[in-house]
Amino acid sequence: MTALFNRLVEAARIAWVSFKLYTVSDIIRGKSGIISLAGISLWLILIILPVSLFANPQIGLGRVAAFIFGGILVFNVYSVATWDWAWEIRKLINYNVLEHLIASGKSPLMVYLGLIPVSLIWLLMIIILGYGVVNVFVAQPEIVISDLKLLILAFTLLIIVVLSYALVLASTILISGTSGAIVEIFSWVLPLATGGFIPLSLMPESLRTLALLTPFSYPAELLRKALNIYEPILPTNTMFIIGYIYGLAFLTFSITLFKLGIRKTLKEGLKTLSAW
Amino acid sequence: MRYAVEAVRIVKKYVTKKRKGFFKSETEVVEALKGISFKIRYGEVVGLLGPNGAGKTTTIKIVSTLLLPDSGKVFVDGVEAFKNLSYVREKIGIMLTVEKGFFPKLTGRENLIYFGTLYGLERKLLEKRVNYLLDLLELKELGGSDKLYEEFSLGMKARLAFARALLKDPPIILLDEPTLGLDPVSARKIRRIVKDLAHKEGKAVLYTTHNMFEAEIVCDRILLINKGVIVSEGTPEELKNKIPKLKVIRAVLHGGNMEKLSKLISSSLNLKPEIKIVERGLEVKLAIKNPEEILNDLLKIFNLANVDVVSLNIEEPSLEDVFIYFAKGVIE
Amino acid sequence: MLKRFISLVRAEYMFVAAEIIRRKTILFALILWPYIIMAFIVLLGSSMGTMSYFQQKTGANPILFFITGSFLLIVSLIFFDEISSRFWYDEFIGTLPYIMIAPTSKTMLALAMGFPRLIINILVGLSSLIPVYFILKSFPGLVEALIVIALSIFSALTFSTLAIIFSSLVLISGGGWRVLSIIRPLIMLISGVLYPRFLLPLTIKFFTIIFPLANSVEAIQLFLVQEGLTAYSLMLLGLATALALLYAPVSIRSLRIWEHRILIKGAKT
Repeated sequence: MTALFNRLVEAARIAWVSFKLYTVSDIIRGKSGIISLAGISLWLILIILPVSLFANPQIGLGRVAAFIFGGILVFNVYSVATWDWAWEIRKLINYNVLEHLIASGKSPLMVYLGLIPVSLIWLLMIIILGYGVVNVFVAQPEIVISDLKLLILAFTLLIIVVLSYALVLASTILISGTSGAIVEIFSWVLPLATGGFIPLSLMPESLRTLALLTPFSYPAELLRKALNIYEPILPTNTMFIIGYIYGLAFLTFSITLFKLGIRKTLKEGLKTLSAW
Repeated sequence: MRYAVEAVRIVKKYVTKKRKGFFKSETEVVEALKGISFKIRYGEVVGLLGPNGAGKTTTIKIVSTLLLPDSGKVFVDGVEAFKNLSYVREKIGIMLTVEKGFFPKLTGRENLIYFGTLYGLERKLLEKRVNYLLDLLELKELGGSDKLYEEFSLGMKARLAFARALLKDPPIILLDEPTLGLDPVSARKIRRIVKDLAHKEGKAVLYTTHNMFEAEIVCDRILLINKGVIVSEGTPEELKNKIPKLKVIRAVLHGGNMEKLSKLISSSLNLKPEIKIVERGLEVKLAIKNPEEILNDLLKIFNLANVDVVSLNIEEPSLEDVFIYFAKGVIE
Repeated sequence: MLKRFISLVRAEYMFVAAEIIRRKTILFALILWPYIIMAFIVLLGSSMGTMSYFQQKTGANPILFFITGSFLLIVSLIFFDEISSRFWYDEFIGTLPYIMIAPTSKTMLALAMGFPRLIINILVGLSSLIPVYFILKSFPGLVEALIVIALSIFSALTFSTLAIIFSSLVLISGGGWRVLSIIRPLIMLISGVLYPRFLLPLTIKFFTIIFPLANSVEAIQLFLVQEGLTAYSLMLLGLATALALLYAPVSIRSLRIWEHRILIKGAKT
């Protein structure tokens, strides 16, 4: 019992130190916050503009805006997972830090405990910015928080799922040494194919089945329900239960894969990273 | 006389930021080179010897036209370097770091072909040259010719980096700590080739190191640099003669008390000994002009202190002593 | 001079081929990319409306429009992507000092860096453009696809000088990927690759006239809609060429400024 308590205290200490490190280097000293936000807003405009060309002129712009905002919300959670969490492994390799983390005897995953809150601060800023961009370029999104409890639970599930996804990507980087290409492919395909942007009811039948076979669709559907954007394809309770069981199983799988990646690194040495 | 390299009063300052808490910072100007001047002739290896942060790499980068000095001039092959970049870059070959600087997914041969093309070598000549260098540095033997760079050992990486410096067969070669961290075989190989290049082929070599042993065996002339200033220069022998004519008595003793011994030597001989614990007992070091004159008295003191003498040597100052003398002003 | 340039392209090709062939995942990603972008926008858009609304507003088939757009992106942005990321990569792996010291013009080298990937991306791009055009338009589609490919190469070449200027800005700013993340979408937006230029607000539309890529992209889009090159399209291509020549001396100067900056702070080893 005491040993477990000590391990928890140690984990909390490492998480706190990592949180401080990332806050200082990324948010306070990074000087890149404004640049990143400007870049993100441009990407958002780039996606929103062509997508809005498909809209039926009869449908209210507020509904279109709500749809787009829902997509932006989910897409950015994926992006944070991809570019902040999975990409972090590339940075740790680049700066020769990963080997030291492994040598310290602590799991490199401990670092993530401190990185996640910093990423969530970023995410909040990006979502506010996205809301603003949609407001300016389309219309004020017609969204209402219909169930706060569901919103919190759905968001937590989304974080669990994307964290697992980030760990799978990070493991891929560890195993293959290729980063940009794989990460970029995943970051586009996944949210699209698994209902991140589009309510499952609106997706083609085959894609809908595929989406339900992945853990990604459940939190997205629950989020849309909580924000009154679209009704989920299955009853809310069923989506909730399957989503959490699936999400936690995915997390367990991803942690195992990450450990395998580390073990492979110990066996074969760190891979050199690709130019792209 | 046309010098291979002539540096005239080079000054280089770096501006760095000192962090004070989370938000505040203070700019700090570090003067890396404080007006150094030196000359290198063809056919000689000149060592640039100094501790970390002395300004060795900055000097190499300026001479190789990779870094602009704040003031001062560099002449390479008699031509002002920064006004004739292409001419100068044709004349020099450089090796900056041992452990990186190549494309990981290219083989040793492919990397050399890539850089050779960049350096303007004609295809056939380049292939011939690459083959020659892979042979000379035994990279073919080690398998480095067709192995991806990412699979190279440090020794192979160093040999490949050295091969790149020689690709153009340049008359002037600039090497920045070329044997740092290398195994003795690879280090010896590089040193031997460097000497041959200068003495047999008449090339000028600027060789930075903080390894005294290496400087002594490789370099014809040494420039001692510390804190951005060339504090002394000459052949290894000349440098040794420049420090006060002190010799070092080094005795290893068994048994005895460090404090008591120190007091006895200080009071009887009026000398301040350096005493430390070593594996075999106590080591006593004394720097003195004529050690033979105090030898008897010293042995009497050891007897009085009830210690056994395991070994006793009188040593000439080494290049390391010269280095430390000029860096710290004392012989240690 | 030409011989020297060809030998540089060959050397760069060796690097690019090694990176792509020895890391097969990159090749895989290159093949998939145009499909992903097209599917992403078309599916997302379809969930919000229909493809016919898109056709009503732009006059183009959205599948053809976006597959061409994404192909154009991977081809036209080559010089920008390659130059800004390659020199940064060189700095990271420590090869930059040895490249700086080469008695080779950095502008010539920058151009040579773009060509191998341009060729590879065009070849890989055939796997997206040819099948989609063939499925949607049968054999005449193949001819159209080949013309689009030729015009895409033209776009890439006429954009190369401005791309060098943008790349120099990224390199000079030292901001790495963060600056890239602003300039890249900005180029995509202004070029009209994913959103037709004629729909952009007037002020932005006016600004895009001085942007060679926007002119050549509009010519390609008009070709898709009108199924032929009109006098107006040819005028746009001519404008793109003139602008490319106009930017050439600035691009050389901009790379020299970057080179000078490196000389002041010293190339990292």
